[in-house]
Amino acid sequence: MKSNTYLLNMSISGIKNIQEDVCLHFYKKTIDKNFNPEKYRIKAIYGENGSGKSAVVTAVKIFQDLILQDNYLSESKTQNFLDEIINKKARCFRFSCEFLLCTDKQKIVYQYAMQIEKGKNNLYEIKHEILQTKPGQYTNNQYSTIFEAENGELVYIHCSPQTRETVEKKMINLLSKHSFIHIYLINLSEDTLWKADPTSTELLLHVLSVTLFQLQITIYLGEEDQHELYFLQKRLKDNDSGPQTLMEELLGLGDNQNFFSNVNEKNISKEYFEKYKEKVNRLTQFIRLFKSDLVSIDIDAKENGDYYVCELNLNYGDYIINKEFESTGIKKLIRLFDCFVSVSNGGIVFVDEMDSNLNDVYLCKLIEYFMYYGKGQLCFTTHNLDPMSILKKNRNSIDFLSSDNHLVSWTARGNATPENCYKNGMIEDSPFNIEAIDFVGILGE
Amino acid sequence: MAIQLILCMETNKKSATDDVYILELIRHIYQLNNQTKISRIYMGTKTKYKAKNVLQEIKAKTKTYISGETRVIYCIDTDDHEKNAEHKRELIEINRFCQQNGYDLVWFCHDVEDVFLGERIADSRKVSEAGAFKRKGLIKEIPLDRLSGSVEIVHTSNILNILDKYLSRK
Repeated sequence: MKSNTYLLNMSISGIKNIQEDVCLHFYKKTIDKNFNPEKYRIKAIYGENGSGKSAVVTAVKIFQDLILQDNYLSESKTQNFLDEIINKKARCFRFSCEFLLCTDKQKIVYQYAMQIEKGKNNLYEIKHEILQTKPGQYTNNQYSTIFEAENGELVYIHCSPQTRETVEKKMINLLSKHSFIHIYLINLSEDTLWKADPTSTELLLHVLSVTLFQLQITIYLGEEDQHELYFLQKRLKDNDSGPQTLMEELLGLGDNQNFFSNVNEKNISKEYFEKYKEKVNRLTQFIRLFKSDLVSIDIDAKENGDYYVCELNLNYGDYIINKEFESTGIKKLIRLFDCFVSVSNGGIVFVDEMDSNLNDVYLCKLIEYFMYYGKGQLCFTTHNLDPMSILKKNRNSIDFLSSDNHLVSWTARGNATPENCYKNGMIEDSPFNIEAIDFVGILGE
Repeated sequence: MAIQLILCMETNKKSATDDVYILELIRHIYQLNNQTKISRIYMGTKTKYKAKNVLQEIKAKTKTYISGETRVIYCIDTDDHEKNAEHKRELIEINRFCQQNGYDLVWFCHDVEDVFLGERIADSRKVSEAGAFKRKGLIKEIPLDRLSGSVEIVHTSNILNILDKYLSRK
């Protein structure tokens, strides 16, 4: 069974300088049997400095970490991070999204929402988490709740009383610190109910759908370290005592996207080393498009138990440069390579500051490639106006985020171009009331 | 309600020191938020107040701004209108043009520097004087009644009377 997920929209609030709801639409507002994402695969978010573009990407990262990372909220570094990142006025982070699961047989729309704020012990915890679903064939279908947790208690779960009792036991005292989905996944090995109770199987399928959606998401946030996520994904794959068929289906997609052989991962499992080598070969071809004198990218692999610790060296024939000492632009291309592969193969990718250190021409050509040949979704923040001339051909592809948290999507205005409207301050809530003369007396005489 | 104010300035872009004083004033007196767009059109000289390119630019900026209403404000130096008949005639004509088109006229008597600095400044010193005005925060020392004039008297302007119609004071 072939399955894929598509992010329809997401809404965030209470992070960095985003105090009130900012809602991004990646597709039309309604879904029906004629769902076709071809013209909706790319979204660029523009905004002045400090408008909250990075906050959008960071919010997705928190959502992903909360579900996929072990003990995410229990770690002091997470608590410190949330202390810094959660909006000081709102003091409550909210994330919600709708996504579509497409299989050969059906389309299902999911709506997931969660809220994090400080509890009585002055630590951040999950105040509310809810998963709802509806069939995706008709626009007038209504949502039904799969589970809902509030203040650490399971409020509702769509299953038989027998399953509910079992699930409740597993969730006791855990729901304020862990996502329902995470606890359910981690306990899969002990879960035998799915074999006997059809409602439990249904619940499991919904939980796996959210996980599948999560695993399709790749996030690029500057120097962000992705190792922990990698190991959790590895652990999920190694969990072979659960409902095997479903896990295989779920993780089959992971293999397609080479989760375990990312070229930016240093610790490569011996099991996946061949795939890693193949991917480095593709990386070589990719970098050669920009550096024609590149002969090869050599892997310096040191054995460490079940893993190889790998370094990449760029071989130019006469000389060799370690990846870390390459030019900033080439390093950025290498770092983005995994994201590019993912979005090409159906992944959902968020990239913060996509344009930094990249040549404008290369940037535009890459975006054009994803528009015409990509199978996934790419959402990126940028200050570079050049891609607008390409992006305007698609739909919902250019969003402007203002300093007062208003998101405006570009819609055609006769002959006016988005780049001219934006730089001349003609986009709603982004007036750019600044002129060269404003610097007189501040920077010089 | 969002608003765009198109300021039609006498100067060209490079020597647009009028901007410094007007923007300092707007930022000092009014709430300048994301619902306010200040656009400029540099005419080069006030005799081009109804030149084709100026009128085209007004039209283009008005058409492009779809977030709210647009108001056009001509910012004109009176120069020596009391003793120079040509200057007086120009001022009357620009005033009539503004009235006919529903535009506002902000006048500075005799020019922007005369109003904000209390004296007329040679072109060669305009940038440095504007910079010093900004650096020293001299906008705080301008008596506001000087900027709320109704008759063209030396060192005065009607700028606050006009801006009060469209912007909210802090």
